[in-house]
Amino acid sequence: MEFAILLLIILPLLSGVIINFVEKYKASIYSTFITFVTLLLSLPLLFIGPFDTFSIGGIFEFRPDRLGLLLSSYILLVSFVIHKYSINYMREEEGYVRFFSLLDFMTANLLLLVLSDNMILLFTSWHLMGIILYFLLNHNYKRKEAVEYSNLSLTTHRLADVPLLIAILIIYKKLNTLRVSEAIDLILSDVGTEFNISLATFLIVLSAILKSAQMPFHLWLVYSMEGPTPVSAFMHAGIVNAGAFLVNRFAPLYVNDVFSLHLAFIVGSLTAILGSALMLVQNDVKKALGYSTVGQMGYMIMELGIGAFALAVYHMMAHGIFKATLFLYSGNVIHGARKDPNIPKDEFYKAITRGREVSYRVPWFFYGILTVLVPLFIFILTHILVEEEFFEYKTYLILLFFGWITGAQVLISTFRVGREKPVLTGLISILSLTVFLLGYVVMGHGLKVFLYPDAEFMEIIYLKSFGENPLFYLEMAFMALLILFGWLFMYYSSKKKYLPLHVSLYAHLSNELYIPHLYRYIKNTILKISNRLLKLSFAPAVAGSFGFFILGIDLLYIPIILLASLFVPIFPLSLFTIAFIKRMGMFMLIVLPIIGILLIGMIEVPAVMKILASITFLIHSLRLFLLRSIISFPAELYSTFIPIVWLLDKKDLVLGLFLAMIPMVFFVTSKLLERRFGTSDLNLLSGMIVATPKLALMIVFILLFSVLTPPFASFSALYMSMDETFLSFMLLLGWFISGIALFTKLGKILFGSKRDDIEYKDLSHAEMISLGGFIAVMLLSGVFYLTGGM
Amino acid sequence: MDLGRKLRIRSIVNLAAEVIPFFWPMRNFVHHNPLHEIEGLPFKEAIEVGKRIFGGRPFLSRREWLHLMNKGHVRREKLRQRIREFLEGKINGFTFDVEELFYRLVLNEDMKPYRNSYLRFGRKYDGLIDIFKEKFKDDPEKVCADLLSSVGKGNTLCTLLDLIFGKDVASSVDELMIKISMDFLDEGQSAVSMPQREDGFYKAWRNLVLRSGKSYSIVKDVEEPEEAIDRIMGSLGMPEDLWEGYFTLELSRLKGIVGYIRWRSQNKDLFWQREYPMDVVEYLAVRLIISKMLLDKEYGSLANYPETVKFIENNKEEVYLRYEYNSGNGAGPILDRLPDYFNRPEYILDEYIESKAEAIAVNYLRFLDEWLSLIGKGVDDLDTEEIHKLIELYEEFIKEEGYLWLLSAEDTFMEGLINSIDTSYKEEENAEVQALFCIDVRSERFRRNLEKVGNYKTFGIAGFFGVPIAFVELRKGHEEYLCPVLIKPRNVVIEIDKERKMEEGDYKHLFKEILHDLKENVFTPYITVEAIGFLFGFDFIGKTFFPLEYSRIRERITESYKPTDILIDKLSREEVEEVINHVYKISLKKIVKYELSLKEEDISEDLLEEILNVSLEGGSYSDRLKAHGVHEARQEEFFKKLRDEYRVERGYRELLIERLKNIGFSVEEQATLVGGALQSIGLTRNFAKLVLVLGHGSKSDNNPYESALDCGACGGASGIHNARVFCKMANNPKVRALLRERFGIDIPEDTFFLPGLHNTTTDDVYIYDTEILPIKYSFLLERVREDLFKAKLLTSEERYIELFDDKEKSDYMRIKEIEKNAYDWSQVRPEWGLSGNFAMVIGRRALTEKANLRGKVFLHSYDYRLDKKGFILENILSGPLIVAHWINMEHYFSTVDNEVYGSGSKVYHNVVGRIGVMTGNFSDLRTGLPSQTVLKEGLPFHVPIRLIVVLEAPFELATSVINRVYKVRELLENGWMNFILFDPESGEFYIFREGNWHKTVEEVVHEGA
Repeated sequence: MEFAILLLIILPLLSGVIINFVEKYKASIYSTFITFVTLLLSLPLLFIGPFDTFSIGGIFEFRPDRLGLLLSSYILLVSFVIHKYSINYMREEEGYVRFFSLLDFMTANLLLLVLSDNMILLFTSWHLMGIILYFLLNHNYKRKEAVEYSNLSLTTHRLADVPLLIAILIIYKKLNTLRVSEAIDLILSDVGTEFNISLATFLIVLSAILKSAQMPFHLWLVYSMEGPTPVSAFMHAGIVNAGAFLVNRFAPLYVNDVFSLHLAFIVGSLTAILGSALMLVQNDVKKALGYSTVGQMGYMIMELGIGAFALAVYHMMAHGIFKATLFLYSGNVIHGARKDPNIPKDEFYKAITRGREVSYRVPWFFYGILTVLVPLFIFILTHILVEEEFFEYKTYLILLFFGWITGAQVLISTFRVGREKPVLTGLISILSLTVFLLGYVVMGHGLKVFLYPDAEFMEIIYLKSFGENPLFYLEMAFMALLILFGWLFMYYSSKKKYLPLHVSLYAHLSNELYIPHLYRYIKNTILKISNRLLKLSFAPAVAGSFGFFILGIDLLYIPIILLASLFVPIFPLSLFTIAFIKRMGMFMLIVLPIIGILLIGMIEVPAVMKILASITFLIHSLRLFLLRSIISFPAELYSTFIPIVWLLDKKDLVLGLFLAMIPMVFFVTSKLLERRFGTSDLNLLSGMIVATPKLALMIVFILLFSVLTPPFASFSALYMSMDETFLSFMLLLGWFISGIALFTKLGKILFGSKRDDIEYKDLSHAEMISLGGFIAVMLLSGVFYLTGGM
Repeated sequence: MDLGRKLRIRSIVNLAAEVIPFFWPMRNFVHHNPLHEIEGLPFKEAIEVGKRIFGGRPFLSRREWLHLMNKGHVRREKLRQRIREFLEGKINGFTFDVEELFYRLVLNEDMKPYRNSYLRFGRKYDGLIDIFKEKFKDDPEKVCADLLSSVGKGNTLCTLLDLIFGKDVASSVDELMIKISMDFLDEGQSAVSMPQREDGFYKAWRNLVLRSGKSYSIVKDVEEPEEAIDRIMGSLGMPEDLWEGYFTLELSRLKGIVGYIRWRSQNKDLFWQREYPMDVVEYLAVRLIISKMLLDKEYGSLANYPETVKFIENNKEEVYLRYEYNSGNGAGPILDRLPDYFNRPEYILDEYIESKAEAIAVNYLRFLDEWLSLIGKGVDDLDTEEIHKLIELYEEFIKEEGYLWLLSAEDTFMEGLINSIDTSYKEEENAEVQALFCIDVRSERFRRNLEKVGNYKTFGIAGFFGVPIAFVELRKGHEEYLCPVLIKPRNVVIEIDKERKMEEGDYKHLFKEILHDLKENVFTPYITVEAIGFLFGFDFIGKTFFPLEYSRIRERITESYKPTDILIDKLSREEVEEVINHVYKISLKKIVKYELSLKEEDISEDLLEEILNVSLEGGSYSDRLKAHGVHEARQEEFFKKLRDEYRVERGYRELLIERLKNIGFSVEEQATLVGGALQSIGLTRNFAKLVLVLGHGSKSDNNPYESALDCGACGGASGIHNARVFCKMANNPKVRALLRERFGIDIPEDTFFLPGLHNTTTDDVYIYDTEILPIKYSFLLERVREDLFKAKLLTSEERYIELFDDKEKSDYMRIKEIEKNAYDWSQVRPEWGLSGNFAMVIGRRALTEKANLRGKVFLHSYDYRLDKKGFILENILSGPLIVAHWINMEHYFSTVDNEVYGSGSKVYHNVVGRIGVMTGNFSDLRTGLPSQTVLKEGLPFHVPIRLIVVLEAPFELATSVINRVYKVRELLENGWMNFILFDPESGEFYIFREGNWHKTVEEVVHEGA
C-alpha cells in the first residue's frame, strides 16, 4: 500500500521528466494518460484508506489519511481534465511540451503537499508551488506584463512561505518533532496544559491567508491572467485554495488556539465582501472571475475562522470545479453577446410579438414572507433534518445569514422572471430551494463526518472559534457593518439616479481600492532603498568599521573579528570584500570562506556579531535588486550568504562551502554568457528560454539551488537563533528578499522577446551535462546534508 | 472657449484619427484592411506608414518565406527572376556572380550581420576592421538631431523621454486608458457599470476622478474636452503644426480601442452610442491629461517640449549614451559600462563609439565572409572597394527583400491559377438541380464536390443573395443588419412563430437568470457555489472528454427548435390595422382578466372590441362592461390606466401602424432584388426544377471568433435568413410575373427555390422550408440530400487532412473528428475558415469547373453576355470584390505581423466588455485574426499575398468598367491587388502591371522557365 501511495507522487513526476524526450504530440498524450492512470490508482486508495503514516527514510515521511487521499483524487481529477483540455487548446503554442511537463510537476507537487507528514517536506512542496506557478505564468514569456505579474505572484507566494517556516520551527522547538502526526498526537494527548503553541497555529493560519489571496494580498491572483487559460483554471481549482488544506492538516492543533481563528474570520469575511464588490465592477471576464475567486476564498477562510473546517474543504472542492469550468468556458462570453446583445427590447417589436404585459402587483407582506421567512425556514429546516445540534453553536449564525440571503435572492429572481404565474413559480421555487439547500447541507455534513469522525474534537474547535467569547459580539457587529455596506452598494448600483455616494464608491472600487497603488509604492520604496545602499562606497565602509570599537566587544578579540569580518563579510566591511573579490576572481570564493571560518572558530562570537551578520544578509539582499550585470553577482552574493556562518553555533566548514557555491555558480554563468554574447548585462539579453533552452534550464537549476538551499541554510541558522526575535526576523527578511531579487533579475534574461540582432548559441551537450550535473549534485547534497543534520 | 477654436481642435483631432481603422464588435466580426484608411497611398508606402505608426512588420521574415517555399508556395525560379530584375544595372564592376550570391543569401535563413559584442573573430580581419569601422561610427550630434526631429512623427514627448531614460511611462498611460475606456465602453460585462455615462466619456471620467482624490488639477475647471486638449498642448509647449502628427501617435498606441470609438461614433443608431456617447476628441482629451500628469510626475520639468529640446541640445553626449544603452540600439563590449558614465559622458564617449563600430565591423565582416563562402570566396578575395559596394548593395537589397519574396509568391500563384483556367468555351448543359452558394472560398470545395456527385450546376453570389435586410429574430426585440457592412438595409423582416402564437414568458432561461443573479451579488455566490458547484462537474468532464455526445444531449435538453416563418410582404393599411387590433385584443384579454377580475368565458370578442374602441376614442365608459358589473368610477379608473400604462391610445396606435408599415418589401422591390441577383450570376434561363439557395454559417464552441467564420456578406452572421427571404420572394407567383414582364426572366412554374444552410465547420447542409414542395418532389429532394451528404464526405476528407495533418484514420473517424470540432470547447481551430484565400474569379463556372482550387478562391458567377453596358460588373467590382479584398488584406496583415495587426494567440485571450478580446490582464482591444487562424505552429499557414482577381470579360468592356469604378481603379493603381483579365472573345489574358495592361503569355506563364 505504501508503494501505491508513493506511486501517486512518482508517476506524475516521472511523466514530467520523460515527456521531454518524446515527440511533441506524443508527449501530451503520454502525460494525460499517466495522469489518468494515477487518478485511477487514487480512487481505490480513497475507498480502502485511510492508512497509517509511514516513512521511507530521511525526511520522506507520508501521511495518507482521509483528507490527503480525498484531496489527492480531487487534484488528479482536476489535473486530468486540464491535461485533456490542453491537448487541443495549447496545440499551437511554443513550449507545448514544457507546459505539460510543468503541469505534471505541479500535480506531483500538490500530491506531495497533501500526502506528506514531515513538515520539512510539507514546507518544500508549499514553497515549490509558488515556484512552479511562476514558470507556468511565464508561459507567454514574450510579453513583459507576463513577466511582471509572475514576479508579483512569486513574491506573494514567497511571503506566504515565511510564516509557515517559522511555525514549523516553533512546533519543532516545542514538541521536538517534525512529523505532523506526532505533533497532533502530542497535543491531543495533553490538551491545553503543557504545550502552548498558539503562535504556531496563528502563523499557519497566516500562511494560509497569504496563499489564499486574501485582501490585501489578493492582487497576484487577479492579475495572473497572463497565463494560458488552462493554467488559470488549474490555479483557481487547485492552488489558491491550498490554504484550506493547510489549516485542516494541522486542525487538531487548534484546540489550544487563541487568536488565529478570529483573524481568519475577520480577514475572510472582509475579503468575501470586498472581493465580490470588486468583482461587480470588472469589465473583462477573466479579472471578474479572478475577483470572484478572491471573494470565494474569503468565504472559505471565514469558514475556517468559525471552525467549520470540513466545510471549508468542501467549499474549496465545489468552488474549484465551478471556477475551473467557468475559466475553461470563458471564451463563450461572445457567443452570449451574439445571442443576446444586452440591450432593451424595442417597444414596438415587443408590442406586436408579445402584446402588452400585465404588471402583476405582489403585496409587500407577501414579498416580506417570501424573502424573509420562507428561506429562513427552509434553511433551518434542512439543517435540523441533518444535524440535530444545529443551534448549539453560534458559529452557525454566520452560515445562517448567508444561507438566508441566498435563499431570498433565489426567490426574488424567480419571481422577477415568472411573474405571470405567481403561484406556480412560488411552489417551484420553494421546492427547488429546499432541494438546493438540502443538497448543500447533506454534502457539507457528510464531508464533516468523513474527515472528522471524532465529533467531540469538532465540538472543541467550534467552542474555540466562537465559544463564550466577548470577541464574538464584536465580530458580529463588524459583520453587520459589512453587510450594511454591501446592501447599500447593491441598492444604489441598481438605481438609475446617481447619488454622490454611489459615484464615489464606484470611483474607489474602479481603482481597485487603491491596492495596486499601494503595491507600486512599496515596490518603489524598496527600489529606492536598494539604490541608496548600492551607492555606498568606501568612505562609509571605513567609517563604519571604526564603529566596531564602540560595540563593546572584548578589545582582545577586535583584531580577529575585524579580520574575520573581511573574510566572512560583515557590513560595512563587506564593501571591501566585494571590491577584493571583484579584483581577485573566482578562486577567492573558495579561499576566503575557509580562512574566515577558521578564524571565527578561534573565538567566542559575541552576540552583537550575530546581529550584524543578519543585518549584512538583509542589506546585501536588498542591493541585489539593482545589480545590472551577472558579473557583479558573485561578489554580492558572497556578502549576502556567507555572513550566515556567523550565526551557526558550530562553525561548520562544509556548510560554509555550500554557501560559497552560490556565488561560485554565478561566476561560472557570467563567464559563460560573456563568452557567448559579449555581455552578461541583464538589460541587454532576453528570451533565452526559447533561444537557448539548455542554458536557460541551467539558469533555472542555479536559481533553485541558490534559493532552495538557503532556506535550509538559513533554516538551521534560524533554528539556532529562534529565541532572538530580531535575528530571526532579519534572517527571514533576508531570505525572502534575496530569493525574490534573484528570480526577478534572472527572469529578465530568461524571458522577454528573443533579440533579432543577436546570435544565440546554446550550450553543447557536454557542457550541459557537466555543468548541470554539478549543480544537481550540489543541490541534492545540500538538501541531504542540512536535513540530515536536523 | 470660442467656437472657432473648438471646431479647429475637433477637426485636427478627427483628421489625426483618420488613419486608425475601424474596429467592429466581435459579435459581428468584419474582415477589413487594417490599413484601410490609407489605401489612397501606394501599397509600398502604406506599409511603411503602418510600420511607423503601428509598428507593424510589412512582410514575412526570410525564415517564414523559406518555410512557404518548402511547402511549394514560392517557386525558386520566380524568386531568382525577381532577384535578377532587382540587380539589373547594379552589378557592374563585380568580379563574381552577384546574382548567384544573392540567390544563395535568401535561401539561408539566419545569414545576416549580428550585433553580438564578442570580438574573438576579430583577429582574422585585422587590416579590414580599421578600414570598415569608420563606416559604422556614430555621430552623437546626428543621433540627437534625429531624436529631436522625430517628435510628432515617430515619437511623442513621452515615448522620446522613455527612449532616452529607459522608462516606460507611455505604457502606464496605456494601462490607465484601457481601464477607463473599457469601463465606459462596457456593454454589460460588469454588473455595476460606470455612473453617469449618459453625459459622455469626458464628463463621466472627470466626475469620477474628482472623487478619487488624484492630482488631476486641470480637470477641475475644464469642462470641455476641446479646451482640455488646448490647455495640455499649450502646457507641453508643442508647436501647433506638430499637433496632427502628435495626436495620431497618441491615438495609434491603442488602435483597437480608438478604432472601436471611431466605429461607434459613426453609428448613431447603435444603442450604446445613443445612450452613452463617446468620440475620439473626448478620448484624446483624457489621454493627454493622464499623460501629462504622469510625465510631470516622472520627468518633472522635462515634461515640456521646449525644455526637452533644450536638454537634448545641451547634453548631446549624455543623451547619446543614454539612448544607446536604453533603446537597444547600442552594441560593443563596453556597452554595459555606460550607465556609470551618464554623468560624465566625455570619459567614455570616444572609446564607446570606437568599440561599437569595431564590434559591428567585425560582425559584418564575419557575415560577409560566410556569405561569400557560399560561392566559394572569402572577404580576402575582394578588394576594399568591392566590399564597400557589396555592403551598399546588400543594404539596399535587405530593404527590398520582403517585397521581392512577395512578388515571387504572387508570380507563383498567378501562374498556377492561369494554368488551371479552362479557356475552351463550352455551351452550358441543363442541370437537374441548380445551387446558389456564397462567393466564400469555402464554398468552392463544396461546390466542386457536389458537382462531382451528380448533375448539379452551381453559382457563386455574395451570401446575402442581394437582399439586404434588417432582421428581427424570434424572441429578440431588436434589428440585426444582415448584409455587407457597406450597405445600410432599408427593409425590416420579422421572424414569427409558425403556429402564429404570441410569445410568452420564457421559462427556459429561469435557471440561468437565477444563477446569474446569485453570482452577481455580494453575499450570495458562496452558498450557491457550495450548493451547486459540483453540478458544473457535468460540463467540466462532459465537455472535455465527450464533447460531441455530451453537447448533443445538452442541446437536446436546453434548446428547443421552433419552426418559424418570416414576414416579408409589405402589408396594406387595412392589413396593418387588422394586425394591430388583433395584438391589442390579445393584450386586452389579459388585462381585463387581471385588472377587472372577469372570468375567461365572460370576455367576449365584442366586449374587447368595445373596450378597444372606447379607449382609443379617449372615452371612459362602456356599456358592455357595465353589463358585467363594472361600475362607472371603476371604469374611469380602468380606462385611464389602459391609456397611461398599457398605452391603448390613438397616438401610440398610430406609431405602431407607422412602424409596421415599414416592414417588408413591396412586390416591385422583391422582383427588382430577385431579378438583379439572378442577372448578376447569369441565371436567367434553363432553370432547373430545384434551385437551392445555400447561405452559410459556422458552429463552434467557446470561440470568441465564431462570427469571423460566419458569412461576411451577412454582417458576420449566418446566411440562412437571407436565403429564406430570397427564396420566399423568388417563389412568389406575383414576383415571378413581374420578373417575366420587366426582366424577361421566365421562371417555370415547376421550379422551386429552396433555402438551406451550409455549416462550414462540419459541411452539413440543412434544407429549410421544404413544405412548399409538391409531394412529387419528395424523391428528388431525398436524392439531393444524399448527394449533399456525399459532397460532405468528400469535403470533410480534404479538410481533415488540412486540419489534422493525418491521413491514417478511417472515414468514420474523420467525420467524427470534423464534427467534434464544432462542439469541442478546447478546440482553438474549429476550421481553417477563409485562411489561405488568394484569388477571386469573376466569370462563368466553366472557367474553373475542372480545377481544384483547394477552397482558397472566391468564385463570383458572372456572364458578360448579359451585361452589355457593364452595370452588373460595376456592382460586382464595387461590392463583392471590395469585400474579398478586405478579407484578403485582413489575412495578409494578420499573417505578416500577428502581434500588431492580428490578435495573437487565443490561449491568452480575455473577453472584455462583451465587445472584444484583450490579451492577458489588460491590453488594447485585439484587432484582426488570432494566430490559430493564420499560423500553424508559429509559421504561416496562410500565404500572405495580395488578392489576384481574374475577370472573364471582353477587354474593352472590362477596362471601361474598371475605369468607371474609382475605388477599384485606385486599388489597382496603388498595387493593393493583382488583376488578370481573360478575354473570352480573343482567348487572351491581360495583366495589370505598373499602370498598364499587358498580355500575359510572356509576362507570367513562361517567364523564368
